[in-house]
Amino acid sequence: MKDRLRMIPGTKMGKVICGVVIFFLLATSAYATAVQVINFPALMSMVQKMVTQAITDKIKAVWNEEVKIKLEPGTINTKAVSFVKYNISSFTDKMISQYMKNNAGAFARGDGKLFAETAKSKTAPIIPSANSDFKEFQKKIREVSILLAGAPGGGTDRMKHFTTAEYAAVKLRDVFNQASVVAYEKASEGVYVAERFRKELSSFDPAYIDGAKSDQAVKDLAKLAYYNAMLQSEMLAVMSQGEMRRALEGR
Amino acid sequence: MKLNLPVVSRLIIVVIIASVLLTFGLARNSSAIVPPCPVATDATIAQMAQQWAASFKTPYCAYLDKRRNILLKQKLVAGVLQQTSAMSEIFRVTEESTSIVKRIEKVARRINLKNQGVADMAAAKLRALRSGAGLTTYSAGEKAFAKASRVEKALEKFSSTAFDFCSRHQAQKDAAKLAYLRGLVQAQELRLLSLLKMMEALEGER
Repeated sequence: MKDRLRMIPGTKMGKVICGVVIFFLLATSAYATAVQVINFPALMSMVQKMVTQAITDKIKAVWNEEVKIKLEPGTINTKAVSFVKYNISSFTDKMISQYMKNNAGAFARGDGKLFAETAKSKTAPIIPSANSDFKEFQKKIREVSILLAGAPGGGTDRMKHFTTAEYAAVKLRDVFNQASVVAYEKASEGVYVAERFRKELSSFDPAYIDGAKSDQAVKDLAKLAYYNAMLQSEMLAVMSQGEMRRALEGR
Repeated sequence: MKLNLPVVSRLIIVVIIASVLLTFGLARNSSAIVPPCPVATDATIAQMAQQWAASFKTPYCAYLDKRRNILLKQKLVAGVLQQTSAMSEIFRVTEESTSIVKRIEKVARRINLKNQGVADMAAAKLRALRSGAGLTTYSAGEKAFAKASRVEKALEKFSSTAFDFCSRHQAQKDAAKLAYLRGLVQAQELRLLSLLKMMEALEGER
């Protein structure tokens, strides 16, 4: 048997068999080496690019979502809050500089017609409702201001024999009347603003803040801090005008 | 029919079968190429890259989604101060503006408008308004005190230490709610102060 096997490579058929075996072995080795050595870096590079792109896209999507949440408005509708826009100061300034200068106080020479008409009118002076229009509200407040300003005194002709102290007293009384008008009108504005704030914001249910995202709550907090600052500033203005008037009282 | 091949022919068949098995079976598996890649074209590499990329990105994206959902959930948790809705209800009650007018008119009816000079009538009107403002201020003070007492009572039930044990998101929501309540209280304070100053402005000799 051994002798027969030894004879096989020597024959033509044996050479063919050996060639086929060697060919198949070489082919297997060549394919494996080709994939492992030549294509593996290209494959890894491609994988790296694809993974990087996928992760970058995901981070972008999450970031965009987060930015979108951060840009969501708060639950308090600022368009419905109008109390911050009411200011009576310019209206009061005109009353002092235009009306009172000529029509009220000891130094005024006006005819006092408006004062007389207001005093004689049969309608009772009222503290107007904050539910009314602001212009209407101002109009009603002005009627009282005219009464507070007083009648014209006729000017300095009637003060020829006044002493210095009397002059000072007359001047202080005029200033006191002006301060009364300013304090009354500013306090009226305070009532209007307070009532508007209550009306506009008491309809808002704070439970909405609980239902929204915390980013929205922070925005609402900032808005409310602004409104609170406006209210406090209004309070300070009303108080300071009132105290200025009080400082002039009894002089 | 009996197949009687010579020994050499049998050997040839055995060698061919063994070679084929070795090439397509054992040899390929032992070369650690999974899956077998007989021809390494761009298409097969791209396919493999896609599979590998998917296996890398899926757990990472799942982690990001999980983290994002946790954060979103935290943002949506309600605050710990739950009484705010009940407290804001207290301020929803309106002041009776018509009653103010009626009060002043009632006082004004007592003024005798006959045979009076302009200055006297102006003084009488201001006196009537002062009385009305006094009544209004008293009423407003009474209501404001009642509201303040109710809010105080509602707030007493809450302990501010609760903020130490809640998340930042909850504290932010409660801060907003408290700012809202503070606004309502301040508006009440402003109204009362303004009425008081209006009444004061009507006082004094002119």
